[in-house]
Parts: sequence; C-alpha cells; structure tokens
Amino acid sequence: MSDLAFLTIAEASRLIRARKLSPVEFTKALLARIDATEPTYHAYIAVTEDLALAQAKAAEAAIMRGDWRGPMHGVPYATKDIFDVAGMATTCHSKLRMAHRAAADATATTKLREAGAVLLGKLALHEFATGGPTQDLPWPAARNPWNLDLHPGGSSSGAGVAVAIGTAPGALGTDTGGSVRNPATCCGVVGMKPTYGTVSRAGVFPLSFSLDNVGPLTRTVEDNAIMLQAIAGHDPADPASARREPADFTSALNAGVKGLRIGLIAHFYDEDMIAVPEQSAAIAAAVDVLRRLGAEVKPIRLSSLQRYSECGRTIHIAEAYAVHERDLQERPQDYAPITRRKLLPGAFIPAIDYLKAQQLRTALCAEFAAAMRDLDAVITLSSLDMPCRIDDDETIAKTYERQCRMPFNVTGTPAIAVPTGFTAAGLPTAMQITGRWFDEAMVYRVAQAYCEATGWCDRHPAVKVAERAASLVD
Amino acid sequence: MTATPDPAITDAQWVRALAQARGLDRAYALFPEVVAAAVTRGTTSMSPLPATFSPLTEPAVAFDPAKFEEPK
Repeated sequence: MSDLAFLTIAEASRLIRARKLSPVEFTKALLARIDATEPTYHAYIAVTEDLALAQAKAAEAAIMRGDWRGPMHGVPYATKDIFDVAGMATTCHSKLRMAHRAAADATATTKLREAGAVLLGKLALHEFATGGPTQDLPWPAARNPWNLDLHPGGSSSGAGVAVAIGTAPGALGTDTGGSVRNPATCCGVVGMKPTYGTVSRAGVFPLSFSLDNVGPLTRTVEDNAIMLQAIAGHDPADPASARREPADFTSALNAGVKGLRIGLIAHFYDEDMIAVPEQSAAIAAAVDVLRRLGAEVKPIRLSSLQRYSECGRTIHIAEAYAVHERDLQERPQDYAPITRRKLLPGAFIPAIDYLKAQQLRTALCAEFAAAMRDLDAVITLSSLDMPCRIDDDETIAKTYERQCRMPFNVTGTPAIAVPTGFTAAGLPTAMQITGRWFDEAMVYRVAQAYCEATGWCDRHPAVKVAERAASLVD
Repeated sequence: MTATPDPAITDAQWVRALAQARGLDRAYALFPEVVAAAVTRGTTSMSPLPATFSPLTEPAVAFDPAKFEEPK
C-alpha cells in the first residue's frame, strides 16, 4: 500500500494504461489511507467514496475496452472545497456555506471527470481561501505533514497535506496571493499558479476576481504538467478565461536548462525583506545547481517586494469585500475571527486606492515584461520564513506579509513552487520559478531539470496512521 | 463657512459612523475593535447594491494578461 500511496500520476497512468494497475484497487487503497490518516492530518472535509468507486469502476471498464482517454484516466485526485461538485456543498471551510448545494460541477472538475479522473473528496482550506488555520470553524485545520505542530501553509492547506502524505497524487487548489504555492512550500510538494486566465474559474467560489487562479499541487513536476494540461483551456463561462489553445506543457519537460538565461530576483529576500538563513542558503544552492546544469543565472532588479505586495493586497482586499459585503453586514458573527479581521478592511478602501493599485499593476506588468525580454525564466524565494506553530496567530499573520508570491499574482505570470531541500529540523524549503505570460512549458522545463538533478521531490514525510486502520494501510 | 472638525466627535463615534455608512452596524456592535482596526484603511465608497445583484458578478474590466505577452 505504501508504494501505491506515493505512486506518481505519470507512473500510475502508465500502469493503468498497460492494465497492470486497477483504478478500482488504486482508489480503494487511497480511500483506506485517507481513513487511516485523517484523524491525524485533517486534510479532507468530505470524502466522496461512493462517487470515487463509481468513477474508478467506469474508468476500469473503459480502459479494459481499449478506450483510454489520456494520462488522468483512472487516476484519483482531490479538490480544495472551493470547487463546485454537483449535489455537494461547496463549504469554503465556512459555517456560512454548510447548507449550500452545488447545481453543477466547476469547469475544472468537469474537465477532470471527462478525462476519466477519479474524485476522492474535497479538501480543507483557510475559510473562504483567506482566513487562516483556526479552531473556530466546523472542521479542524489541516496539519503540517513534516511536523504536526506547525502551519501547513494556505489557503489550499488540505491540498498540500493530502499530496504530501500520499492520500492524493494530485489536488486542485486556488491561488490569489500564493495559496497554491504556500502550502506547496510548507508541505514539500510542487504547486503551480498558471498564467491568469489559463484555467477556468467558473464554479469556483471567488476571492479576488482579478487575482484568482486555479492550479494543481502534485509530488512531481511532470505530474503537475499532466494535471494542468487536463484542466487548461478557454471557457466562455469565465469572463477572464484566455481565448487561446493551451500550449503543450509536457513535450519539452526533459529538454534541460543548458544555455537558458535565468534571472534571479535576490533583492526581494536579501534587501527589501530579509529571509531566514535556511531559505536563503537553499536558493543559493539551487542557483549553483542550475549553473552546473548549464544555465546562465544573473541577478535582475524589479520594483521592491513591498511595492508589488501593496499593489496586490489593495486589489485583493477591495475585491474580496465586494464578494462578502452582504454576509459581513448580515451575519458577521458566522465568520471565524481571523477571516473577519482580513475581510472587513475592504469596506473602507477608497475607490481611488483601488484604481491606483490597478494603474500600478499595469506599470509593474510592463516592468516585468521588459525584464523578461532577455530571459527565459526567473527564480526567487517563495516564503521568507519557515512554518511557525499552527496556533501562533500573530506569527502566522506576519509570515503572510513576508513572502515573494504575490508579485506573480499581480503580473499574472506563471509561477511554480518547488522544494529546494530540507532544514536540520527536517522542514522543506522552496523556491519559485516564473516565466513569460502563457509560457508554462518553460517554467516546467526549468523546474523539471532542477528537481531531477536534486531529487528533493522524492522525499516524503513519515506518515502517522491511526492504529485502528493501520492494517488497511500496510 | 469652513468645515471645522467638531472636537466633541470621538474616534469611537467616527468609527461607528463609518461602519453604519457601510451597513456594518451589526459588525460594529459585535466587534467594535475589529471594525475600528478595519477603518484605519480607508473611508466609504460605493452605495449598497440592489438586492437582486449577485456579489459573485465578475467586474466588467477584467485584467487581460495577453496584453503584456511579447512574442518570443
């Protein structure tokens, strides 16, 4: 069972296509592992066992008939509980949404269903993708798989945890200011925020219209590219959906980085704000790896991290309040305190500030485009700090301000978080790789070369399983 | 006639007035410190939207990343 738990999407797909792995047995094994690990990790809000088994049986029957649909066919996955699944509540991990029932699937889940993927369940998050880990909600907060006392990152916290502990080979998250890349960073997995508009947000509860993205979390770069390929594409139901055919994200995956020009935004973490030594040392070592692999890595300068962060934060706060105004007026007591504190300032953002932030955003995008003219990709840190205790609200609030992820929500460019090693305490560190708009293929190519060379993606946490279910797992 | 601040108006009254203007009377009554902290970010802007309006509506002016894409 342990082997199946950490089977990658690519490996599973090859075995399923060759009829050497039954989608039903794979699904049953993961459902048993979910049962055994949930008492400890709280990654899932709802497990869709009946649906998963029905989808797995259908996939198995189709593949046995020779009707193989592609690399997600018969492969299980899970989704942050912010994506609609017909007939289920999209709770957004909130008391306010317990009575909700979705009339239809979100476009991203529809695409995965049509690709033959198997939905295992819906995952924990920060309330409405903006709160934080708290015990003030109907479901417990997900736990860091490398140290249960620590914050697993968010807001797609359950997605990061489930992928890291082997209860889903891949998961869908959303990213408005880093909510895919933060849990990927804290949990030691791979998380991609694609170019704004690449994946439809139809049927996904919004946080900030002009910053929201759907993105996959997986254990390997190849799996991430496979999953993104399955969900990318124009969707008229999303007004911001890009009107273009998705590129091929996997064909150049193993082309290496020899001769590539990679920019390093070091001033974000060694001048604008100062990262902890563990994160700084890890990205310095990553630069050495990329150079050894043949890439030219050179420092570049952009506007300050604070400038990018302020721009994104102003847009985020104003747009999120527009979504939540009615509920904050009528039932503010039903939000967790941490969520109320984050959402209420949006009521008082002057219109001129929002407009100025959007104007600034245009200027920052132009700046980034100019920097990319002579580059193939750019790297920088993801988090400036290591995960803090999950019950330390004050430090968690500070760490959310100390990160390099928001700049790429502001620019709308693709950005992936990949592990860069482990600290002496056994916690993962990470960096981001970003690129030109709609050039996910290049971002994946650099990430793949780095991860293949280092092997950091192959390391998994020692997973604790509940005694009552241990026999099912081992 | 010049607009001179009334010295009798306290910070708490000012916060309450702003909260009321944004329809947040209930939030202010239940969580006055949280609302006071939120007020530090700004002032009032839009009027309340009609009851038939969905708060999930996408803004008309959406950010378009294709505008910034440059040919390779």
